[in-house]
Amino acid sequence: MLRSLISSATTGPTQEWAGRILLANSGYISQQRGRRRTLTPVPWLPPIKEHIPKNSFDLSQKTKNLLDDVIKKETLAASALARNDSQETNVAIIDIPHSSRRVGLVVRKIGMLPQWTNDGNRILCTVLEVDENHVVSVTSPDSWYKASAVGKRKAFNRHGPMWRVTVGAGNDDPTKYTLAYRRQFARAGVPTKEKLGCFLVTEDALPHAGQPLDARHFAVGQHVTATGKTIDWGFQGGMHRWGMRGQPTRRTTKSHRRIGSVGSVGDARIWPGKRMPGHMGYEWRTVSGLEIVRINNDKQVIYVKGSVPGDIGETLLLKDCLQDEKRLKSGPVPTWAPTLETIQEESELSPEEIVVPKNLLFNETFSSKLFRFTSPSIVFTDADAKRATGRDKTKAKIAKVKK
Amino acid sequence: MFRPAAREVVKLPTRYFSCKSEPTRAVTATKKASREEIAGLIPAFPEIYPDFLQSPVWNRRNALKEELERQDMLERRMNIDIPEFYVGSIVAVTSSDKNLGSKEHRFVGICIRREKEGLLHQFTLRNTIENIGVEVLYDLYNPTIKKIETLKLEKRLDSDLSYLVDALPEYSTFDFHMEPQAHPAGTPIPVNECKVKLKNPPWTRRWEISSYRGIDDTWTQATPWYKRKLHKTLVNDYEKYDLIANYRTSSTKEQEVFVQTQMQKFEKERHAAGLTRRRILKSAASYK
Amino acid sequence: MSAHRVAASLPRIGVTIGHTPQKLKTGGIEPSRRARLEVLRRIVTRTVREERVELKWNRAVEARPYVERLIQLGVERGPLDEYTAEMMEWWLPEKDLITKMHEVIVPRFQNRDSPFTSLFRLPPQRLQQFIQNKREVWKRYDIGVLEIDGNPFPAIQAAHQEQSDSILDVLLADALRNHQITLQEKLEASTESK
Repeated sequence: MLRSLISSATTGPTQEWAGRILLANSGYISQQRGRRRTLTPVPWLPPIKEHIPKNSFDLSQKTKNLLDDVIKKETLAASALARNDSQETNVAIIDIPHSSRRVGLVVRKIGMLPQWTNDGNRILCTVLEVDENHVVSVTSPDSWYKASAVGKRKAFNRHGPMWRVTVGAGNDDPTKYTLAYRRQFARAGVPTKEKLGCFLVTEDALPHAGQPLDARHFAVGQHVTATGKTIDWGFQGGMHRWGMRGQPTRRTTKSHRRIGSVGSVGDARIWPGKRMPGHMGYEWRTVSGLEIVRINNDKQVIYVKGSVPGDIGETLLLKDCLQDEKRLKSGPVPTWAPTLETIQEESELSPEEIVVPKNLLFNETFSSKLFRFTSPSIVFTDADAKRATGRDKTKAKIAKVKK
Repeated sequence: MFRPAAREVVKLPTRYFSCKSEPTRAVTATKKASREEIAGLIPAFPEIYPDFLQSPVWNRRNALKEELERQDMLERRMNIDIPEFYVGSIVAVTSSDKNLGSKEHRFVGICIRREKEGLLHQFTLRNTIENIGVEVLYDLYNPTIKKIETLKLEKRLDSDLSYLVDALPEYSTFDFHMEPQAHPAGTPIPVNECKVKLKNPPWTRRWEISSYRGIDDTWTQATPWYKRKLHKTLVNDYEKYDLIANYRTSSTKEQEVFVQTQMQKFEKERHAAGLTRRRILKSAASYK
Repeated sequence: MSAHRVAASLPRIGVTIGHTPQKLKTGGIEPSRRARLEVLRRIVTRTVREERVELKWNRAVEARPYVERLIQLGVERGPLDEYTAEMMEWWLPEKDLITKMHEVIVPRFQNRDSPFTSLFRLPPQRLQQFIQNKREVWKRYDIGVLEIDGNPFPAIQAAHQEQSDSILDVLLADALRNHQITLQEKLEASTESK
């Protein structure tokens, strides 16, 4: 018990966690047999959670308090050390080459909020929290693909060899986890994490293990890709699952929401892939091209325009968008660090605006087109109404008569 | 899921954790005094500020998101005066519209609905213009709204006046040039006990089976077809006795007190910085 | 809408409440939401009368918040409040129980916060369900004891005794204290270098 509480960075055999953790690049799907989704963990992977009953040890209240205190201090010390180490790392804002892939963040969806643009349009944003992200491990392409289910062509693809970077999110009580699970964090010198996610990263953008990741890893105006599990709807009918139309309300009995015909007479069978009622949701989905419109640096919160897969409270992987026109041209490589903090914004404010003191506001970055709630109501002028006026399409085209 | 408290656990100094029993004992002793309102808190808070309540969906309640949202809402309230109004009050809204010649538009009507929480909060105004019923739905925090005035501060018998759509047009006809009527501060909000006469059926909804108090005698008006149909209708009038179903969707006293103290703190900071003298947390009924 | 604000502005209930209502078996009554409430009403009535009742675990868990809320209404709003009176009348159909609620149970909790009830778990019991063709059908149930605090019965759980002199305790405390000092040094060093 004592040995397991005071985490000692022993060099034990490498545990393979890849099957458990969220793997970002799921573009290539091999043929799958058996069940498509299950909540039961596979039996061959080592357990993560360890259940120790609260009253299994006869400890006095004083010692229990001491134990809690020590555990908290350990987390604090690990966080502080990781932050100090990252001061010395080499980070810079540079042009990112086309073949380069940066690491991403493991975020949590905490809700959806409307925001308004300066021309009065409402945009619905998803709010994503970056909760204490640290790099847990960095694995070379040779070693990771041999121990995982995916093949060599993922580790050595057309963009070059891909390192696997595991990122952990959310500090948690270490007593809940097994020693083997905690060892990977002790090795990196970071607090025990609740969630893990994997990213494939090229060598030129490789962070080191134990590096803290910040919400400013992404910039406002940048486009990102979000990957996560969709809402688990359970067993649903054809109307909900596939958007089928159902059957009429009148003149039909007991067939209002049924799917109708499923095949023809000649070939008396149902073709594979026929859309039918069944389990809906809880599948990996990726949405790309989401724009970041606002970042709250104090609370480590990212506002993304549009919606992401999954319910509120679910974990997602967030990385740079790879679409050609939405790709990140220049940014912090390998990641953002406090050394990059510069003062830029002072000149932006117009003089006649009432300036709210900085200490009353969150330290936030806004997209230039986003309305800030500290500014007064939007007032339009004639210039705003001017639009490219085309031909009035409601009227017929009439040739001009020359006189 | 992450535990929401995980971050606090890390950031707080350890001395806060040393003695767990003391604060609870202190709370028990001073409970009554704190319940009976620390100065400045408003008893009718959920009615006046429905936008500051928590979401009725438990899944969507998140302290961090609510904090960020509240900050935006309060900032907006510093820039525009959002007066107190209820469902049943007569409200005028002036909003910017870039496609109009005058660049702004004023609409007067009775507030028939207030729905959703936080920045999503919406209210609907209804009026009859040239014998056509018009309902306009506004986002309360939309920055194109320039001015909101309460022309007549009153309540009706119901907290949802959607049935005005099926009522005779005179019940939702209001003068656009109506003079604002001042509400004497410190007096309770008047309740207009007007009972509305509905048009002949068919109606958009079956008003007679809901327990609306502001409708005049729906039963005699209902068609025989609907009267016969009532036998087959499932009326869930016992649902109001489900105390916990009610609890699941409503906000708690603790939350309301917390939000109000946050609002007061915000106000005080802004006043101290000399930015504005506007008050956000106020109530016409409990004005001192 | 806004129907959910009927009983707003009450303090929170200090017991676990699931995010969704659980289905209860409603022997005799046709299963529906109404039937569920009827079953809960019987349990609440019985709890108020007997002050300590033995129930199947899932029913005890489900009924507990209702008892809590009812007591809370009495404590916060008093017998004269219209909404409280209506709820008491429905939940406690026997009139003497309303009197008992306001005059015996509520005064106990005047200066206290929720929870007003306790729930204990008993070892699972085998109960006979029915007899079919001379065959007895038994089923295993988790049993809970729901009680209103401050009742006159002897306590279910013995007072917790603290043992602080075991060798494990002494050794662990010592080791932890040493570790704490080194951690503190580490933390201070890291803040200085910042």
